[in-house]
This record gives sequence, C-alpha cells and structure tokens, in this order.
Amino acid sequence: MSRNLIAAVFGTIGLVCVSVPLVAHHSEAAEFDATKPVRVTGTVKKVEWTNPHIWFYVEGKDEVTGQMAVWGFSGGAPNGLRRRGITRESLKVGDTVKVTGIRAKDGSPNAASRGVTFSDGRQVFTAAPETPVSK
Amino acid sequence: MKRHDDRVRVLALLLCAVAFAAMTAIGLTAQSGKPVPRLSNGKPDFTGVWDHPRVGDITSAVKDSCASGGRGCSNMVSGELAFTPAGKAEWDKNNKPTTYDYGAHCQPWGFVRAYNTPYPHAYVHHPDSLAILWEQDNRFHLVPTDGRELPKDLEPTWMGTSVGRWDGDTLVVQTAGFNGRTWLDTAQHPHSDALKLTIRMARPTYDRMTWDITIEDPKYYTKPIKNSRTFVLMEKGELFEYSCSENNRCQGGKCEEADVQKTAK
Repeated sequence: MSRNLIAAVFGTIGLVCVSVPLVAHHSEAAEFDATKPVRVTGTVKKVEWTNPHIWFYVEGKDEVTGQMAVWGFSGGAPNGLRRRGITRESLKVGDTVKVTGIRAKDGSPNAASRGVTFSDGRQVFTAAPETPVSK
Repeated sequence: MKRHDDRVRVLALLLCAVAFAAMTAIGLTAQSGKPVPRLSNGKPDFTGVWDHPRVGDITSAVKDSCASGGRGCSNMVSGELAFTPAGKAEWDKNNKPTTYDYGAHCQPWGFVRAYNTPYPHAYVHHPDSLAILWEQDNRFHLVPTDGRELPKDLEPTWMGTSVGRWDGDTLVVQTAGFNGRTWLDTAQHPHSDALKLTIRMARPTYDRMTWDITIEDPKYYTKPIKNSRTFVLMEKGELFEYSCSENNRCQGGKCEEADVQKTAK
C-alpha cells in the first residue's frame, strides 16, 4: 500500500470523525435564526477556546449580505471537540478560512458556525449550539 | 473409497471447528468477554465512564448511536405524550423557538435532561451509594443505597433527591422533590414539581448498561412516560471540564460584543 493511499485512507477517516455533527449546550433557536445564513471568507483574528462554546472571530465579508465586519462564530464546547480530536491547535489566528453559519437574532455580526473550510481545502465542522430538535 | 470419505469428513469437521472458533472469538471481542465487576456485597459495580444516547426529545428513538460519536447506545420510547390540561398549557407555552432556555443561562439542566446531553457521564459505585457524575456542567448527584426510604417532606431542588434499592442485580432508583423549573428534554417537554422518577439500572455485560426510566407527573401527564436506554462503557474514557458561565456570549436573544469587534469599528 502506497504512502499516499494510507494517507488518503486515514485522512478520510479523520474527516469523517471530525465531521460528526456536534451538538451542545442549549436550544439554538433561542439565539440564532436558521433562516438567515452567513458565508464569510476572511482571516481569523481571535480564538476563544472557552465554555460553553468556543468562539472565533473572522474579519471579512458576508457573501449573503455583503456586510464587512469582524464576525463572531460560536462552535462546539471544548470538551466535546477534544473528545473528537479537535483542539485549540486546530484553528489559529492568521488562518484564512471560509465559515458558514446562521446569524444571531439580534442582528449583530455573530453567528452559530456550521462549518469551516481552510484555504487548503481542509474542512472542520465546529458545530453550533444544540441543533433544533424535531417535534 | 471409504478411507477418502473419512478424510473429507475429518477435514470438514476441522474447518467447521476453525470457523466456530473464529466466530466465537469475534463475538467475545465485540462483547469484551470480561466478567461484570462486582461490589463487595456481590451486586454489579457500575463504576466507569459511560456513553449514552443523545436524546434531544424523549419521544424520539435513538438507534445504535452514542453522544460521543460511538456505536451501541440506544433509546426506545413509549410514544406520544398524554398531557393534562395544565401540562398542555405549559407545552403550548414552551413549544416556540423564542422560549427562554434556562440551560442557556447556565442553570442546572435537571435530572432527566442531564442524561440526554451530548457528553458522557460516570458512576462511582460503593455498596452503600452510587455517585452520578455528569460531564454536562460537571454536576453530581448521590444516590444512597443503604436501605433508607425517600424522605416524605423533600425540599424542592433542580436535580431532585434519590434513593436506591436492589431488585436482584437491578438497582431501582427513585427520585422526587423537584422544583419544576427544568424540562425533560431540549424539545422543551415540561414537568411540574410533582415529577417522580423510577429508574431501573443494570449491567448485563461488562461493556453495556441498561437504564429504564419511568416518568410520572400527574399534574402534567395522564400516563407515565417511559424510555429504555442502553449505555456503552468508555473503557479508557475520562470526563472533561465544563464550565457553562465562562464565555456565554449570546443569551436571551442578545450577543455581547467582543473586544476584537469593538476595536474594528
């Protein structure tokens, strides 16, 4: 088995492992509007690896509204991310990323992240607060 | 010719024996093959970190899926809920996306909802007590199993008061004395201060636990609600820190502005 094939196999496994939807803390519907998507490409300005959700800040333009801002994105909780092999080293200040999410209800430039794509194509699903529950 | 047939029969038997041994080995691997640990009183020892099914809604089944991403956890449910008029009124109030979620404000999740979370829990078991340690909010709950009865005049609390007794190898935990300020799940199914729980816990194999809960709340439901869950042992698992109030930026429909957002203006 070639080294590239081994890398591809384990890379795929790794991607699957970190792509498992992470749900956490509380009802997402209370804070974020699922009908208002955001798609921001920009540079990571700050990472807060904190409870109950990590927050990271990306300076860039939202493709949906055209708004330029330092966008705050919430992710999963550090404990849940760590259990899946995602650590504070996974996202660094200065990284160029494209982040998708849903916008905060108060209209501020904050959102619950849905996914992060790095400039080299790697994808890390950081998760949002608890996903809506079917009733 | 007969000698040839005998050789074929012996070969076939050998192949079957090898196949049987291989299947047994696979089965033992899947079930770990280890005996269920016992306490000094001979009862099953539940000590360990356990993964549970992620249950966002107590009326929804979960099949072969653990909260931490593993397999084997499950939840079987008892179907539609039967509300009393008071329960229906509370449900109608809750069943909206704008409802205030006490969990988002870092208040205790409550006993039932704490078992539903995306994070595992652990037990530390002693012949006279069972300690439940939830990773969610790093909360704990102690269940005496020394034969005492559930007190009659319980103080209303977020997590309730519990006692346990053994029925053979099954630990039966009764919990009551709730303040009625939590939900049964994130789907916002309500409960009142009349909530009473009966949980039957067993460890039929080394790496599996069964956890069957009967939820009774005559103020809000006309018949009991049941969930039957399977937990999976996280052999080398550990519980991590979780501190809800550390950086809870968005609460009550409003997000705090971060320092990097202020300076960018």
